[in-house]
Amino acid sequence: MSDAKLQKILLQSNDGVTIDVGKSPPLDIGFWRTPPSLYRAVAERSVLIRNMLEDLGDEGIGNQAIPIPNVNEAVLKKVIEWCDHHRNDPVQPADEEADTRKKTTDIEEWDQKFMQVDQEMLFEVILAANYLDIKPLLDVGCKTVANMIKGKSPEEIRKTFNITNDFTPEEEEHIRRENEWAEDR
Amino acid sequence: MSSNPFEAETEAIIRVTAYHRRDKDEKVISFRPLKQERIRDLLSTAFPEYRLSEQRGRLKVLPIELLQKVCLELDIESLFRFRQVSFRYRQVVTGIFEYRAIATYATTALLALFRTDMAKCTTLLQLYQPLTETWCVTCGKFGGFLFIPMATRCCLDCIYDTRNFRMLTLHSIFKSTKISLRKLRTLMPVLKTVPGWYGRYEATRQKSVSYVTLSHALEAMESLKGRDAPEVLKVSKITLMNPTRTQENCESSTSLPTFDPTTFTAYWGLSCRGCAAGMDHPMFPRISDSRQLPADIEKIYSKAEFMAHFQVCAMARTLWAASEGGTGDVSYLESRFSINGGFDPRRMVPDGASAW
Repeated sequence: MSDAKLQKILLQSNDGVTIDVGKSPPLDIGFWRTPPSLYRAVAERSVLIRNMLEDLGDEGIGNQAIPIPNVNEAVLKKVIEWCDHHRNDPVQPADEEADTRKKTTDIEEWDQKFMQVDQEMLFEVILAANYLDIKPLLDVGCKTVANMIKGKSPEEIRKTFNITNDFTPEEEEHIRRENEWAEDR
Repeated sequence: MSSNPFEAETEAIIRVTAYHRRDKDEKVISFRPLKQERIRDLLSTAFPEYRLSEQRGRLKVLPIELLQKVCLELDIESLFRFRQVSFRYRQVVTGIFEYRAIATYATTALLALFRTDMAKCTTLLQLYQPLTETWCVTCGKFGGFLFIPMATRCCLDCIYDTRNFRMLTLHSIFKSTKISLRKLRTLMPVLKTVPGWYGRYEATRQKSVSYVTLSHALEAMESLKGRDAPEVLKVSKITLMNPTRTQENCESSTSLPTFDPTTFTAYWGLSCRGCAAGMDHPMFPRISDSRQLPADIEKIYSKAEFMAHFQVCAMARTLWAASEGGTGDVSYLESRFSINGGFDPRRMVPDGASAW
């Protein structure tokens, strides 16, 4: 059993690159010294991978890489970076969900910096977090997108995301009336 | 609608013997019914005819459920702006269950949020939560109202009671902290009152005033840290000296029905037509002495509470019997008071028990 725990966890992105979860920069003090449980903690931020590890058992995996078919290398590295930084976060119990929902906009400073990437990358990270079932990362991603929308006019939102206005004149009239009621009594 | 015969009978009993006290709704922020209906259609449907919208823009990579998750993080004002971006996002937002429930049943609350400028401080779920509740958070009785700054469900009595919700004018905070009004507005949710008639005696308010709840003010002051600590005390001292008046609480509240997500229906607080008929209808003898009657008239029930009341209210049972299972017209037995939804036809003192 203890022998099996020493395994490294390898993930394979959809472009065929194998990434060692344990080889992220902060742990770079020599492979054999890092407590192996850490890899698990990092990888198990993802519910998908955690379930997979549980199902397969340590023997089942061996030294094989776990294929992550929906995620490419750059994004997977980014996600592992996040998981590594948050490996010690307590796992959120399901019943606390309603409570945490109430707080909006407040994103940790590290996460804010982490999310300062171009939009394509941001959306890819959100999709990957959704696929890998990493709820806190998904929340952070959605909040980041929400912050990009907040306080903007429809025209500004279109500009931000490069969306074209495809309303017909009739529909525009609907929207104009909708806006009217917010102002008059 | 309801297939269960027992439920069908309950619905019929409620239809015949209960009414909604519309006069109570007028004590807080309210809007003309016609206007609300027009807006409800605009808000609760995407557009009448469906078409496939061409998807452009970078956001298109996100599937609908993730976009909706993003929407739940937005404040209501931004959500509405986002809904006006393009056809697809209008459908995305309108497809959110909580959104449809609010647009259909909490139109008054939505209008009030926009008018008081609180829509930018409230999220969809913050409004949805009280919509699904039934009871007043402070006293535990049936609550048919929403206290906007805290987004909590409460009853009219608790709104009248000034000890429950303490509010400060933005100007008084400015005076005690010397922080500019503009900065204060960014620090805490500020409610702008809507001119109109409010409060127990429907007094007029012509000017718009900005209010902040004490808890929001204290929270904001604490987040400033350090040198502002004494000011925090000053702020609370001021409120302890001058509690807000009933009228200000009314200016920050609006009526809110109770929504049932399993059936996608909602109902407003129920009052008993029988009790109202017992008050002034010549066909009914007065059973109890007149001083006790107004108390029954003032009662507002939840559905379950009303059915319990129906079991013991002789007048309501008489009405129900006369209606022959909910099919007959019983308006000849009814009080003018309940036909008018609680508005007294002779326009006595609006709400005081002394009127009876």
